Amino acid sequence: MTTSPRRATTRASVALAATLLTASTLSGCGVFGSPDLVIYNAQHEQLLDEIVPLFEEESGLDVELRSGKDLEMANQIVEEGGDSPADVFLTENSPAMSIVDNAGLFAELPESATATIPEQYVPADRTWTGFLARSTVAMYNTDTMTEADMPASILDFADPEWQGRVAFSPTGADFQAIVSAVLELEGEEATAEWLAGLEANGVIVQNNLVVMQSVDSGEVDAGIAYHYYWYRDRQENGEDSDTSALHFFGDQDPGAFLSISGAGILDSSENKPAAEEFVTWLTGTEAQQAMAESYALEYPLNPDASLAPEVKPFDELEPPAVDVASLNGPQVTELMTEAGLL
Amino acid sequence: MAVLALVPLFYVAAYVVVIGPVDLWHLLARPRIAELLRNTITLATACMAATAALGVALAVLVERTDLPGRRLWHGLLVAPLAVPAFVNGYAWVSLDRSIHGFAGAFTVVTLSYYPLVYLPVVAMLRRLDPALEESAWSLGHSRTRTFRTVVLPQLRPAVLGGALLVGLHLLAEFGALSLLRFPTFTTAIYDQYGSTFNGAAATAMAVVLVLLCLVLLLGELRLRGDRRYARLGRGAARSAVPLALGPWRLPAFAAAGTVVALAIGVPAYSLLRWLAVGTSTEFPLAELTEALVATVLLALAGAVVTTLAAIPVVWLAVRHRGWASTVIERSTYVANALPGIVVGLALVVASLRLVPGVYQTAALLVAAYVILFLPRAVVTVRAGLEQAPIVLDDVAHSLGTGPLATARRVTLPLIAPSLGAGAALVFLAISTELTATLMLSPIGTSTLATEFWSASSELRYGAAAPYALLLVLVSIPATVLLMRTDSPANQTERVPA
Amino acid sequence: MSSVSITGVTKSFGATRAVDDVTLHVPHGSFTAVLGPSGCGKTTLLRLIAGFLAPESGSIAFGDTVVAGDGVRPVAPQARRVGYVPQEGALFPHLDVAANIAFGLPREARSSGAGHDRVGEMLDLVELPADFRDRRPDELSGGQQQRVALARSLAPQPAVVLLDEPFSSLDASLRDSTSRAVRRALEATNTTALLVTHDQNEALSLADQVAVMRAGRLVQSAPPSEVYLSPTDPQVAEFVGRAVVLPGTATDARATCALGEVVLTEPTTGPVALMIRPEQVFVDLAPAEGAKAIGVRGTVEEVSYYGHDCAVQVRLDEGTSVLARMAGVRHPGPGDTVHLRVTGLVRAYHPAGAP
Repeated sequence: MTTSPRRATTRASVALAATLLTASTLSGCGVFGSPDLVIYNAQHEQLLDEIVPLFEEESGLDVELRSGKDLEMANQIVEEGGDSPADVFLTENSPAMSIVDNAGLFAELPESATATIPEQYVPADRTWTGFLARSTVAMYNTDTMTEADMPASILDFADPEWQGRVAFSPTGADFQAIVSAVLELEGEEATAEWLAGLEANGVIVQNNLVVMQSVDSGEVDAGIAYHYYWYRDRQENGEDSDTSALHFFGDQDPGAFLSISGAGILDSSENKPAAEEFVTWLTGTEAQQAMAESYALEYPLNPDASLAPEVKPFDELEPPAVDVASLNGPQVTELMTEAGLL
Repeated sequence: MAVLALVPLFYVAAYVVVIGPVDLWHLLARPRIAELLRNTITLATACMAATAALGVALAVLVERTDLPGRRLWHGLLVAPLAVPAFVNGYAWVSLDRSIHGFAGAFTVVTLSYYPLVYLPVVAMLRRLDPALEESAWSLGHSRTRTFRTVVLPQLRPAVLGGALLVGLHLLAEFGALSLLRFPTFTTAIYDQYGSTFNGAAATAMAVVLVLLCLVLLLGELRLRGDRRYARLGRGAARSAVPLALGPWRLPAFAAAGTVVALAIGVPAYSLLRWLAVGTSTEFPLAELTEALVATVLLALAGAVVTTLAAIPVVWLAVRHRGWASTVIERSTYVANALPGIVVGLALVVASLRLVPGVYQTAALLVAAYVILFLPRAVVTVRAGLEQAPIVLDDVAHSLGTGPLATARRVTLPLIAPSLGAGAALVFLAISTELTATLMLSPIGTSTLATEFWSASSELRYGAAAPYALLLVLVSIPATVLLMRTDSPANQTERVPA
Repeated sequence: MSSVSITGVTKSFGATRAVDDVTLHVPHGSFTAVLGPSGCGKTTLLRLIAGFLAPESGSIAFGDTVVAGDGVRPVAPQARRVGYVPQEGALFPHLDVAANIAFGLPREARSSGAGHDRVGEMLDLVELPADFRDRRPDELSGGQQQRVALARSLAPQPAVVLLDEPFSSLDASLRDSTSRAVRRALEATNTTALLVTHDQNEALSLADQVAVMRAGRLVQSAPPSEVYLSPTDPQVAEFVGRAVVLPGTATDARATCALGEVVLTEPTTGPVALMIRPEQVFVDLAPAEGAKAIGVRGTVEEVSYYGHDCAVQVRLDEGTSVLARMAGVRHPGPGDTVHLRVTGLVRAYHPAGAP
């Protein structure tokens, strides 16, 4: 006869059951469970989604990825300190590696992990290693521009003649890495001036893909990005690259800066053998070739791996000499914040 | 619970102290802040004005004229609520990349948010006693003059309340504005977060954003107070005689049709197009399912915890009125004015500093949801408890039932429907939450919103489409709930996201 | 069942003394009505007895057991065994009639045949059909709801039943039948009951004892007829019914006033206030031709016709306005000349208040 109270009790137990179910299922999903290896990944998620399964299959290890952006994750690892759940840290660009390295949070890599990588892409103390490289480029719209109209140096984009004509993505780690190279090569004052000029001239967009689209659609005449965005689009369908071309800066100009994607093992890692196995695998020929053949079109750093011939060959690039370990992320952020780009 | 809700405010305040006034000033007195302030205020003002105008015009058209098919129009005009603003932004920008900047943001945000004004105005129009208008008529005023002098002033609280809600939503909006490339404080904070994780500049911007939110919130609270007096006896016995549109029928039809076409037609077309022809369209069933399951489980856990947390707050506010309980209740609203981005930032820092164990767990994410959506549950549960007369407790006591047994046998069963409604609202809000989820989701957990975001921000529009579709489907029940203007969600003032 | 003794109970809210030194005895099995205008403290008194409030001073006892005051820790409401019947809307809306009635029964009884039988008994007691047990509260009329509320309060066999204006929300016809049924049910179970009301008809017609409260104080408690015919002071007189209060001069058993000479209930002497009930004022319509009219002459100002009777406001020739009540069979119209005289005994008050 007291049907309703009984119904209420039922409802309460359903809610309770749901909560328990939630907790248990979330742990089943890996939220509370512990995988064999946790990678903080600031490289393109799509690339890692392609290659990590290969490693898992080969090693039998269970890998969990947390994706983010270079400096966000680097600062996050520093903030987490010894409690960081990360075993391996992968970045798109090296300034983020320096932040973690300067905080003394990386463990020394085993020799096997760097054996295949040319020494200029590995810091002297072997706290991390480069595993992919990307070249800075300018893109230009082929309807409104010719190769001859493009400047000799990336610094020229700060000139008033480029007012409203050049697109870039200051919030991206890629552009910030380029700025760090300019800072390293030209000094603080020149960098601040250049940034001020870009802030006045530039069309600020959200990421490099939008840079490319803006150039292709003729919204701007030129844009600053990395090489592979354009090649990837060419390879896929060319929809966003059919009215644009790449301009490679030469002559060791800061605009020819070759940015290094890094991989490092956290000293706080409790899964060091698995982490070492992964980084060694990542720099090995098999993984390097797999990445070279993937959609990514970044330059593999292992000389035994080779990229498709359409991409400008690695040895034809004329990058400036930059010490991979010296690029300063935090100062770049400060300079860009002061210039009003962040 | 109130303490949890105040963590973000403490965080912002503590950071201000840590940075110190000199550095704070240095961080604030720069051109970028001026630009963001200009952008944020211009967009907020323009959108509040536009949604107010559009909302009132459409509400009057549907409620007070002889426009054919008014019930259908009502459904169509509320439907944009089922399309999260960031999905709408994606729909527009992926159709035509020239839609961006102020014009793009203004268009998309207005089309997404006008129902926030439309709905309360419709509810108010239904409650207004037509006798008032009839007496104005009988005093010799024309229909239009009566509308201007009698009806419009009474709609004022509903319009202002709705517009303020639009403002608060807009201050917290990240996805749509980021896709449409119109930087405001929220997008700038996220950019800073991406570059520095926990930088002084991000927090300095959060200070400004919080101040802007508090200004709007104070306006909302003042209005809420006034509105009590403005409210009339609900459930007018008769509905007003509809105004004959005459020759205006066709233009009115076209106008309403245009709004629906832009607000629903464009996103629907864009979504379907990307589903069908997008070059990168893929249907990763396993990933979709995983994201859907994670979303549903997180939303379920968040809804249950948030609703449970609302019970003591409501109970204190309704049954033990006093300044302390009012402060506790209000504090949950204040925290609610904080955008997800600030709540996320605060919880990241607070958890790392104070309880590192919970960092990057589902528990912390659920805590963020509780802070963000507690007010929704409080408002709904409060309406329920207020309808459970305290005399029933007295009766139960007199029949030999102790306080706990009374809560179990009388109070809980009585407020069960409002608990359900509150939990449903929170569930749906969580399932489309983006910013806090992006910042706090545990390793390996991705939700529909974060998967959508990762695809659409890399311009993989085709890949984003199935997630967008699921996000819309998940939002439909909440919209239906809100469409029924007699639902508790509309009887009481709704609170911002 | 037990008696209720309230001794010197006081309860304040801020500076206001809602209940001020009230002493009242409710005999075992009796029905007492606490009568007073709204805000007089009668509901507070009821809540003190129920245990929802604790008195500042004084004591409350059920039979020999002190439940509050006298240095005793107040017994919690749920342990007092009081049945409480509040105003409208007091049925648990989420429970059906049977579950409402069984609410106060012990857990075992609620789910057993004994509980089922008890619900039937109670429905029968409050004169509702047995098939009402499955109805929801919102399917019942107001009067039926109040009967169920009474059944619910009686089911656990309380020491005392407290009724807080239980009929005030019912319309006139329901109010009478419902209150009669309640009265019969209470009588049948010999339950001690305390009714709080502002309706003098309700109090007078239902109760064995009427306790009149004013501004927190108990001003009179007596059987209904005594309260009506011999109120403590003119204000009580005016509260428990319509009254004509006229200044007069008493000489032993008689007094003179604007309505002529009247006979007093108790002899007294000197200037007095005379309390005359309107039904004591006899209205003589146009006397037969040639006969001499008896009484004081006046002109009818206003007539309120009720059917069974009517109230006639008459302006006496000397200027005083007086209310008279007469059968509705034959009545005067405004402007008619009538003669008035007083029948029955009249209560006299000395200006200070005491007779």
